[in-house]
Amino acid sequence: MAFLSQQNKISLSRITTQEQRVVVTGHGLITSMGKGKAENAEGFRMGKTAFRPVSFFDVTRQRVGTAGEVVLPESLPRNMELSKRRIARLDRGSVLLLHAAEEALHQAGWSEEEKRESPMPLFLGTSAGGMGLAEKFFVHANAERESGNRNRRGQLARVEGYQSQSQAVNLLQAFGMEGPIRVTANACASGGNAIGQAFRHVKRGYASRVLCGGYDALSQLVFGGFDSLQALTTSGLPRPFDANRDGLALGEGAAVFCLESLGYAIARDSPIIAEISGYGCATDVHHLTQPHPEGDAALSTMTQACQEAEIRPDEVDYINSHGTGTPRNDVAEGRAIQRWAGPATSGISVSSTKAGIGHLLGGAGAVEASICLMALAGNWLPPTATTSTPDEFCTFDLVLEPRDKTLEVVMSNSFGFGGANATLIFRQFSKKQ
Amino acid sequence: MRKQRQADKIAIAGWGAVSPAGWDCAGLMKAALGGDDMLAVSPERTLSVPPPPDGRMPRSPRLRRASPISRFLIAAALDAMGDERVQALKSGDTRLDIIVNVLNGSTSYCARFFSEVLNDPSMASPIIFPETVFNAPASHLAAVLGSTGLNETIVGDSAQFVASLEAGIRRLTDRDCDGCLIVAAEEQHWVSSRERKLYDRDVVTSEGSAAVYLEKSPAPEIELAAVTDPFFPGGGKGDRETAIRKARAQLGNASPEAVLIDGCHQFGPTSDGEKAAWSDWPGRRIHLKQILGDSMAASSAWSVVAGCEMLANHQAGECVISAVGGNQQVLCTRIKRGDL
Repeated sequence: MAFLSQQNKISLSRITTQEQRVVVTGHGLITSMGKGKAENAEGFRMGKTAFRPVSFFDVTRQRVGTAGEVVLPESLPRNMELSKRRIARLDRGSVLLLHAAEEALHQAGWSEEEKRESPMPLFLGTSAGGMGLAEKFFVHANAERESGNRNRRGQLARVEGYQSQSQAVNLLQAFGMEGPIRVTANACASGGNAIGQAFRHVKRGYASRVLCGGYDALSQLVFGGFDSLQALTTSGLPRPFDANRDGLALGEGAAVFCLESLGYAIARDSPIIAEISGYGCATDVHHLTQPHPEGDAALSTMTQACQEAEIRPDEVDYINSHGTGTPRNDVAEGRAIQRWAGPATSGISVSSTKAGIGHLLGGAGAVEASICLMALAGNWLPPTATTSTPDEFCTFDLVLEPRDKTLEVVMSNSFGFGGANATLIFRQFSKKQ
Repeated sequence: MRKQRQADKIAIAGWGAVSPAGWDCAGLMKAALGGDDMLAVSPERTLSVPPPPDGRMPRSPRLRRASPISRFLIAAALDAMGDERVQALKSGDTRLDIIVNVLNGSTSYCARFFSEVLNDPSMASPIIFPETVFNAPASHLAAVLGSTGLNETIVGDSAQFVASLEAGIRRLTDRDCDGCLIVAAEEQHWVSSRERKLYDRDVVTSEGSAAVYLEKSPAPEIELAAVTDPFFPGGGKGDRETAIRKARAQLGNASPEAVLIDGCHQFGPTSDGEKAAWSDWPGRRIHLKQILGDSMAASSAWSVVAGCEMLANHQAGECVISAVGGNQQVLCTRIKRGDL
């Protein structure tokens, strides 16, 4: 029973009432930079950019024609427990998600028994789910409506396929798992929120291990939306924190994480990649699409995350910023960092990896968390490679060139439409707390 | 499994609803208990929420262009919160978490905006696009309330609202917040109606919202007594029936006088498993969808709110709600009067 109230007590299904340390034992990603950690680490470490013409919907009438489009691998992950029919119906977002999950699960090395010994909670973030399929459904239905000719061939599969929860079910079933699913749609903070909620789920003893992450595929509606807002850079290359920044570039991708309680990971002798130690979430009620100019909610999430991780700002070595490259977002985030770090500001390294792959919306928080883990593992900083003239508000150490740095604690910021804000903190794992 | 002991119980301290029967719970209950045959007067097999009464919506710049789903959601949420709690929140005396549940979101603005993109992207409206984002309604709600805490939009099937009750209980028990507002909403549009009818040709699609406000209390008037685990419904009637039976078994025996509020339609294959699983229910039962239509994510929320109304008006001492989603989860919840 998930919850039961009895005489003078509340019972929630828990494994333990003691707080657990939470560690990452597997993560995987796919972006326009490449498939998997090796290709992405190489690209981000060197400050490469990976933007190309959008190839699978019409952008000829848009102001912008490029994005961080993923070159999909020729084959899907092997040994998936999905029927041929279901595989044939997978949408682009699901394919991205499955590739990332395969890598994460392979690294975590959960045995079949460990995957099935109890329900596997899944926390996912996405802003658009299977929007591409929804668009196809709409076009087909609209044509049917206008012509009056009944033709619903393929429509049920499109409806079923575009629902985010269906994509989550596919992920679990593809790798032989079953469990409760929670899909967060908090716009650009979705991935960060999903990982944060998954972290708390394990920390508070509701599960020994969970799967979490975020994903989004490019879609015509969303591309048209950001273009209508004139939020896309017409140069095709976003320049976060640059004095001459003129907008963001869209991208697509996915990242998936295996989180475990430290006790569970040690018991099965799992290699530990890092510890996740802090999460903050807050809502900016200033405006539907614009952040508070002083970054109030961002300040709140960074402060909360540090309190939970029991660290001071000067102990954070690197921030993977939200850094979209839009005029308002970057200055609000910069202001929030200054207010949060105070005199420590100048010593904190900050970059935006959106310079390399664009803004992945619901997938951004997860992919950027994965980049943080790769940087933490290799002790390097991913540069904001497209930026040449830092804006005057950048009083922090804006990383513009590839650089090595010993990293102990890293932070990932995600701030979204509607004021959804999230911050995550990862640190090198040490048995000593 | 260990269990945590705490002195407080979980109270459903406030609730609200918007439905085709009107902009309040009174309308919902009049239809539910009075047997208003709303479906019979809907030849197109769709039901819509009537225009709001004058003064029903708060004055807020956020609502100038807000979609119907945002309006439904805010109206129900404000009723669930009540004026005193809204004031306490605005004065900083309460930490509020908000969980919004949707399946389709703002279909009307999505369809309109995408049509504009297809027609001529240079003319697509930058005002409409932000309203198409799943969490736009939740953002407007937070702005109206002045709430800066957790505000999470969850996309799930039509049982998601009940799953989110459990998430809310956890947040209260873990002391993340003092109160948790859980809302579900959907809006009617020909696209979402057509989608739903691919599963059940004869279903009546509908729109609206419902909300509950949860807090801890030693002596709640209405107590949230149990929420089951989610069970995967599978694809067929038999799978769904099995999942519901598992949830029902986990919930345990209800009192003989308990009222069952289920999600069965009059017709259609998606209800067959639910009908079979509850076929031996000995007591009274209410089929809200047969009165108000199927409003996807809002339907299970209507069921919970209808139960709260029955308990508050002493029309029942205990209610069991069966929440059967299409492709993600099946859950049951039990609510009861605190004085029993």
